[in-house]
Amino acid sequence: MQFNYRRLLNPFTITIFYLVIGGLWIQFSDDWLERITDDLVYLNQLQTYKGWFFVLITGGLLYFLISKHKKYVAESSFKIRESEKNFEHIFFFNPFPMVVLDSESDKILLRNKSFISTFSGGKRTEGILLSDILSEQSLPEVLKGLNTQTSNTTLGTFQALTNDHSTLIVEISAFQFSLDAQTTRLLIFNDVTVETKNREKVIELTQNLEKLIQERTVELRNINSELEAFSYSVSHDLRAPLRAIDGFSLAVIDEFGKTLDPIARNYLDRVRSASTKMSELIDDMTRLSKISRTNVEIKDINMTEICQQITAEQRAIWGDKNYTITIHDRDRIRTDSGLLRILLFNLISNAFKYSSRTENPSIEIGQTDDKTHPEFFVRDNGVGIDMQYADKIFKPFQRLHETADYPGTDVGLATVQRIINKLSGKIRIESKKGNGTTFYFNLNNDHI
Amino acid sequence: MTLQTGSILLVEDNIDDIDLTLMAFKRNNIENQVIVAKSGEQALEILHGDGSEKAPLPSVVLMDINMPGMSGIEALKHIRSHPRTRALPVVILTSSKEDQDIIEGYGNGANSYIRKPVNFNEFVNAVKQLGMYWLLLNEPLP
Repeated sequence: MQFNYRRLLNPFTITIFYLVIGGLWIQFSDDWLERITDDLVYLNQLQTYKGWFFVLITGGLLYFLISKHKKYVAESSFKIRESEKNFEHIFFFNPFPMVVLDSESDKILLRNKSFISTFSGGKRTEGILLSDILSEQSLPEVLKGLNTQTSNTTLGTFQALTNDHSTLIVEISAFQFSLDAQTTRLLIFNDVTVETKNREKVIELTQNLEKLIQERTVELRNINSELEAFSYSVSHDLRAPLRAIDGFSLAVIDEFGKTLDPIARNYLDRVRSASTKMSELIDDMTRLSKISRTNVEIKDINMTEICQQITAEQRAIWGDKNYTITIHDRDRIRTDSGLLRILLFNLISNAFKYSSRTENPSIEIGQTDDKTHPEFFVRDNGVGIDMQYADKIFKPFQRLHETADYPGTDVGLATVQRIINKLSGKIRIESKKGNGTTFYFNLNNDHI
Repeated sequence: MTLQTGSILLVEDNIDDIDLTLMAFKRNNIENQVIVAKSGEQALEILHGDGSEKAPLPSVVLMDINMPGMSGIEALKHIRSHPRTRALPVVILTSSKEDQDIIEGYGNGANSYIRKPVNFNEFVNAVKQLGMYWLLLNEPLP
């Protein structure tokens, strides 16, 4: 630890020090002189020298102390002037408008340049009050804040009047500090007009957006319910006349068959098969439109089991063909059970259908090895398609093969696509004409 | 028209469907009396008859859903709310396969829900099984 000699240089210790040294000097110095000589004249002379010596030492000390103190005072006042200058700089040239407020009243003692150029009352030179610049509503709140808040704090946002008679929204912060031995307060005005206006605008925009969304939702809901009514009407009302067409055609065949020309009979048969086809179409279209309206319910599902069920059903339908079926075992999957079933039904029944004319039809269902983007696949070695038409097949009523060869309503893959969309998944096809087809798909809701 | 024991009440507004259903009965040699009501209101009138408690009820009511005026579901609600017809077998026979209709049908006490097939052969077969079940196998209300 360094010895702090400045602590000894206070007036009290210096005086004590002087008294002790001086006292001891007076007390003992004469004794020493008397021991040196007995000659009174010489002693008298020595005592005079001793007096001079004492005066010389104290004079030197006095000079040392006074010059030291003078230097110290000069240094301090330089520092004070510096810090005053710094304060002036920080205060007067601060980009934030600032004032120093009287401790008792709302009288403004000091204003900085930014304040003068911004706020009303700025042109006046003296006697400016806080009430000159704050709006009527804001003034009492600020004063209340100043009276109750003792610590340095933000008082809140208020309205202040500018030189050009417009109103600014300012955030006022108050800091206590002493000036000329008086506790005063420094107020800083932060112009938050733009931020506030922007925030208000954002709130307004959000509200408008919400209103718009609500309106659109109502609109969409109306359209949806209209569509629902329409699809109900399609599925219900279109079937009744079809039933009549089929029923009465059959009645004609049965009751007047004997008198009918074979050509007429054939025509009636065709009327009947057309009505059956149309009823299937209506059913498929209804199912397709229903998928969009289905509520997705995510559950743990045993996919392998579903595939086994569907392939068993399909095997029964295509009983005369000998299909080789491979289903790679798959753990559980998390998705909507109903939609997954329809999806797999369409892909698997297509695989059966389009490989039905192949010599050794084989179907493989499984999952790719890719760990990061695993895909499920349904593969057949059937008729395949020309890949340049690949994008057509997921649209309803698009077909790439003769109906006579591969009967169907052409809604199956459109249904698949809709389910994939509904489950936020992706589907793609890889195929070669005459060389089989593989459908790859993934489902976003699926946990591998 | 008064109901006989073992009769069938067919509630259906579409004239084609009425004829086709009657034709299907005929093809299946079902010769029980078939009474046709062309609306829900008419069906209720026939069921409540002259108001006497003794008047016979049909063995089964075949009820369409979509009809002008009172719907099949509404008529079913009335049937179920009236003490005399509360337990009467009602089979919904409709074109609709909408979940909503099926749920409402069963929810309001339908005994069965059958969707009319478009193919007439299938329809005849459905009517045959309906007749077999509700007229022969099933014991009617005493």
